[in-house]
Amino acid sequence: MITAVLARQFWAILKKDVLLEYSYRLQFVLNLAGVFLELAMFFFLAKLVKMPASMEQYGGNYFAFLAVGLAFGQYQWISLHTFAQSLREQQVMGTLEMIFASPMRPETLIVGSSLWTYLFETIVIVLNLGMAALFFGLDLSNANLLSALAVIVMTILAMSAFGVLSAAFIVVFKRGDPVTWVFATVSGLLGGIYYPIEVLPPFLKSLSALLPITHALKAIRLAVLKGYPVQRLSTELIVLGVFAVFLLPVSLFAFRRAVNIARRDGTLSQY
Amino acid sequence: MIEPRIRCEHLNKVFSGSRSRAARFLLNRPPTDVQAVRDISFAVEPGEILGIMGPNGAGKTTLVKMLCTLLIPTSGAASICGVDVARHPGRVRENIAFITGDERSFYWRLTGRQNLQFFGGLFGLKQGQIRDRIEKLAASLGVEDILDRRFDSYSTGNRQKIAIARGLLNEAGVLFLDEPTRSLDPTSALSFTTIVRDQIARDQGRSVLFVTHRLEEALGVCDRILIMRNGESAFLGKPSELQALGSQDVWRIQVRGDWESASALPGRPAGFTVSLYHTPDIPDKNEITLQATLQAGAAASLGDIVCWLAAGGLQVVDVARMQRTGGEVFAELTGADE
Repeated sequence: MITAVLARQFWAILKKDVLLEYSYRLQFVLNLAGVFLELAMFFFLAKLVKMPASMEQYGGNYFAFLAVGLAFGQYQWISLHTFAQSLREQQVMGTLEMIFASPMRPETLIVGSSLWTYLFETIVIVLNLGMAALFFGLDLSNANLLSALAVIVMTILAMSAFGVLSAAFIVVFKRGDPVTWVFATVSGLLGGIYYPIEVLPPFLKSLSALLPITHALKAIRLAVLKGYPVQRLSTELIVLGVFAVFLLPVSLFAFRRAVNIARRDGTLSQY
Repeated sequence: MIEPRIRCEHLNKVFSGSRSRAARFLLNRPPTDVQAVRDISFAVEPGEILGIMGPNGAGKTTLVKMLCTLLIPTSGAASICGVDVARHPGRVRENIAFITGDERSFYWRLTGRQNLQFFGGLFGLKQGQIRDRIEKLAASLGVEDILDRRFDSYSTGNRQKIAIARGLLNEAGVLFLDEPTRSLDPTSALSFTTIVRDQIARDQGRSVLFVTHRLEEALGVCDRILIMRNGESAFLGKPSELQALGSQDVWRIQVRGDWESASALPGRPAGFTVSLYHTPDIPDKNEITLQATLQAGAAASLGDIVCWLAAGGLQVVDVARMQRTGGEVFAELTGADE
């Protein structure tokens, strides 16, 4: 019974978000055009880069390394932003109080609000890689879809913990969220989106191991470019799982606590 | 004994003016706490409509938001259908519906139907239930023709009707209506309040908390009225009791002399309250107008008060008996004429 109600609530949020997205059709077309131009830019840039030995484990093609890293790096971006952004949109639109006056739990709202963003981003990533293969010769013939799916699921679970924490900050402080700030800046340097972490000095390399994006990108590249089965990615999957198991409950607790602070202070709908 | 659907016991809400002691210390400012609701107690039975009135800033919306679980009370207790609002907000929300006059609480790029389907889903209703209830509510509120148009194309009145439909969608046992007729034309407002009184409260036995600024509406719809002033209860009773206050013996007495020293004189007749009444134009700046109200059942007469004023050195220039309207009584209770 509870599961059925939860499913109806998730479905209601997903359907609403799809309808809202559909009402902004031009934005979707422009996003895709932007992805194509970005791919073209990195395709030409990759021609200038000499292959270091560390690239061999990913197939030795820098454009492929970049295309996959940039595409799947989007999961980190949306994980950090989607929860806080959807809450802020509800605050600005004035719908947040009405939603919180319904029987839906705050956790359901925060998780449900991310469903369409993850689904939409997955579609964009597939189109992104499709364009890279069609127009710029990205070789996806070795891709192991099952492994890729496992990595995506674990990445979302691990990264969303940080996104929910970020939303908790937004509920209380409205603006100024240190979680997003730290991850957005540090991940670009240490996460391995633009280059393999093997090129980093030992100290920075050990720091990069503390970021879930490092393990997620390594695993997804090995799954998509080298076709690794799930068993050979078990180390990365376990690390991502540990992040999720420890951080998700903490972040959901923090979010519930933040909502209660806003209910106490009367600032739930302020932005 | 039937459990009241809504129960408030000594409910208080204080908003902290400063986030932290450190901030107050650094800015060298005293605490600026605001007591929005002070010691409010009442109970609403099944099928009863309690009207809540008061000037802006009286604490009406804060009170409703506490009962809707959107705010946590500072002290006191409140329960909906026996469930404590602070301890079990989730269970409380299963039994309530909140209708507000705020038209911003919708997705303007979606149609009215899509908005209602979304909120119906949040209540956990099945698709078939949502569809049937939307059709039924749209027909009773006269919005069938606009349901599939985008919300941003609606008139203010039609947006309010969709807000009302949303509040009635989950058929909750307790309804909180925060100025639901604010944007409705008189005919639509009357039609809605009739639905609330005859169908929702009388036939279906649901309890309603009805916040309104329209006195005539409150007198016509509510079983009891709570008038709030500065967060406190200034009156709680039946509409007939509120109207009875208007038939009290009240005189406006124009006098010449020093009222301040005269008012301090002992021997004021028991049962009378006398206060300064502000008039917009005073013919003689030495003349002032007093309002004397004889409390119900008191034995004193007008003659007694005139004698008392004369003993205080005041010269009575004119006396007029007043029949106060409901609006004047309301203004007195809420302090609007001070």
